[in-house]
Amino acid sequence: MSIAVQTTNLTKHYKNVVALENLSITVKEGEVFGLIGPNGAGKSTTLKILTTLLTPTSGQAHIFGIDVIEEPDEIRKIISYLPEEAGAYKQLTGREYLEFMAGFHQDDGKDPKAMVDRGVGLAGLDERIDDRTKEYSKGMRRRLLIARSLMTIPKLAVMDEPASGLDVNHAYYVRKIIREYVENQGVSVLLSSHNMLEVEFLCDRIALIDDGRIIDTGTPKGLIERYDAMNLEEVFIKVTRGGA
Amino acid sequence: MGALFNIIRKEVKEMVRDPRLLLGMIIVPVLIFPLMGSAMTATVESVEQSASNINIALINNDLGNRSAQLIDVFNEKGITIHDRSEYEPEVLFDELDPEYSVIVVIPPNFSFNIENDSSVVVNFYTVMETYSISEEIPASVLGSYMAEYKQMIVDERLTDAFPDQEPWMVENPILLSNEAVIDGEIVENVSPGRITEQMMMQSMMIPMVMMMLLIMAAQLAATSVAMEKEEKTLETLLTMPVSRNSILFGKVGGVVVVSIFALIAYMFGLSYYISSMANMSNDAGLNLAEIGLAPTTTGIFLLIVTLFLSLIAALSVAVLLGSLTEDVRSAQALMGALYVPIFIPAIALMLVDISQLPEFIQGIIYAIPFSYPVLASKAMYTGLYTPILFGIVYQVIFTIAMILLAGKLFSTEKILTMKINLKNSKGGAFPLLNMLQGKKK
Ligand SMILES: Nc1ncnc2c1ncn2[C@@H]1O[C@H](COP(=O)(O)OP(=O)(O)OP(=O)(O)O)[C@@H](O)[C@H]1O
Ligand SMILES: [Mg+2]
Repeated sequence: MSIAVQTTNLTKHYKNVVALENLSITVKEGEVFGLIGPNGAGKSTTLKILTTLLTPTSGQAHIFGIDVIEEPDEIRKIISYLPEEAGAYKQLTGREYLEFMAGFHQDDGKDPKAMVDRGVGLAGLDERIDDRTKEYSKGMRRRLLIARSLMTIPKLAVMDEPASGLDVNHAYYVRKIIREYVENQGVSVLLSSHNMLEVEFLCDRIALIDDGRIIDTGTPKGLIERYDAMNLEEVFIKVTRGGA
Repeated sequence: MGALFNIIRKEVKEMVRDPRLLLGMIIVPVLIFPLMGSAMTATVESVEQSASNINIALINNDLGNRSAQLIDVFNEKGITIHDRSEYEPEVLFDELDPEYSVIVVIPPNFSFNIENDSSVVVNFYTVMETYSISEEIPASVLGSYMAEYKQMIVDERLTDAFPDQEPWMVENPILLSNEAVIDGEIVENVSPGRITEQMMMQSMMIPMVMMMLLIMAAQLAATSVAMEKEEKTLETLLTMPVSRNSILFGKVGGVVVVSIFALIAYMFGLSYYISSMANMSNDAGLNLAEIGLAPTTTGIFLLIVTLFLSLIAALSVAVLLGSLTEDVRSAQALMGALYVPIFIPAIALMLVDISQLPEFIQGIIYAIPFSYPVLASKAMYTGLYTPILFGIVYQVIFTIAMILLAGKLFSTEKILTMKINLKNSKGGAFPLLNMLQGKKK
């Protein structure tokens, strides 16, 4: 089994804020890996570096052996990114949005039509897929965006709080399709989350991060045992300052 | 190439579906010129109507028979006369709903004074209620008929005094002929003033309209980039397998496509306006081409080139400014700064020739890449192409610099981390100033 993501001593400074300090994680191919940590821990920063949006101050990152900093164009061909907060183009319909995004993968020898069909199925919006996205609820929009990030069957899907702001029904649907997709298509997933329930359900392994540093890594079960906790929530509290 | 086309198609779709934009760029310009034209036609028609249909109340106190001559002139001109000689004028002032628009009072000594080479006062009273032009027209039309009668009397007197002379010669000891010379040839009966007037209409109208279009297009481009930030779609777009330059060119290309449609709309509206203006004035406009002032093919070509380059330059500046801001309103405020350099040369050069301006201002105008279409529209007639050719080179360099700058910005993380927010700034009129101040903080 090969390595999907490998970061080594990743460090990121914004002007006078240290967002990441020597962060090293390894995500194996085919697994769902979760970054867990309190607000401001550096989760989004890590994901943005890996998706070529930010450049690290120091350290290295590779995705399937490709250097993120040296070859961002190659990285963009094999990943997909779901930002924490994202919109769709308001004047386009859901289907047109998927078509637009699929249009960028024409040159990779993939079939954009099949991609869009897959996206429409994943979004599960039925006939509303042909409405303009400005008429969508937040949950519908998020489902469309998640469908967009999975329809290309990327080698690595990077998802920043995939179910954030969704009600129980939408969140359940979203988790289910992510899980199913990973199992059926062999996609590797790196996600961040605040929701421990989500993490326990979705993730094969997690890294607890705080203040830009890794506190601990392991399977949800392993961590619960290691910290002698009832559930992941308790682990989270114990590990972050909340417990102290 | 496919990716570029993909972006252009999406941009056009978005723009065309935005009702505000469609209204502002296509529908309003298409309608505004015809509306202006019809408003003018309607005004002229109502003026003509009130001039052709004059009713007067006549209080004729003349003791002689000269007044009959004046009345004949009025009758000849088709004026309807209501004889109210038995009234004092003041009585008529208060009359509700009068059938006449002017009260004309001829005094008792009218014939006597005229015949004795003296002078006499005829009174016109117009009762004003709406203060509109149509209320004023009858008295001034009547005045011009009076002037005709007056000229008859003057001629009569001059013939008496100088029986051997033509009266108009006695009256006009000096006649002035003010004619323009173009390319060493006299343009008969055409004054220099009329030529500049016509020139301004013909050679400035198009660049002015193009400048308006330029501003709209730039506004669109800046908005489209800022919108990606405001609506949080940019991050996703930047992780797609597409070059940053394709994104930039896609945005510029989308706006160019929409601008071409807007341009067609403008041209339709404008040509309708011009033709309705031409129909209005009986004096068929001076044909510049006929008097040897046709624009040269080279000139037209240079105008088109400078206009196109201005568009691309404005769009690249707009994309750059748009990427510096974090929301649409800030982008539009920042764009306000671009209007000044676009309009200043257009307006300044409409009034004077660049050579008449102080050197320092000339320098400024030559430094603004958007001056060249206006300069070219004049060079089209003067044939002084050298500054335009230099200008084209300058425009190309400027545009490439802007595109490189925008491309550079797009290829670093600055595009995501840089934030200029003018939304809450008070001095909206000085966005650049605010921006600089904001940076210092
Ligand atoms: N553009 C920026 N400029 C300056 N500092 C930033 C910027 N973006 C993030 N930071 C800082 O970097 C640190 C890490 O932020 P990051 O967004 O990665 O946290 P996070 O773990 O995703 O938090 P959350 O759970 O709230 O999303 C925070 O202290 C944040 O204030
Ligand atoms: Mg975050």
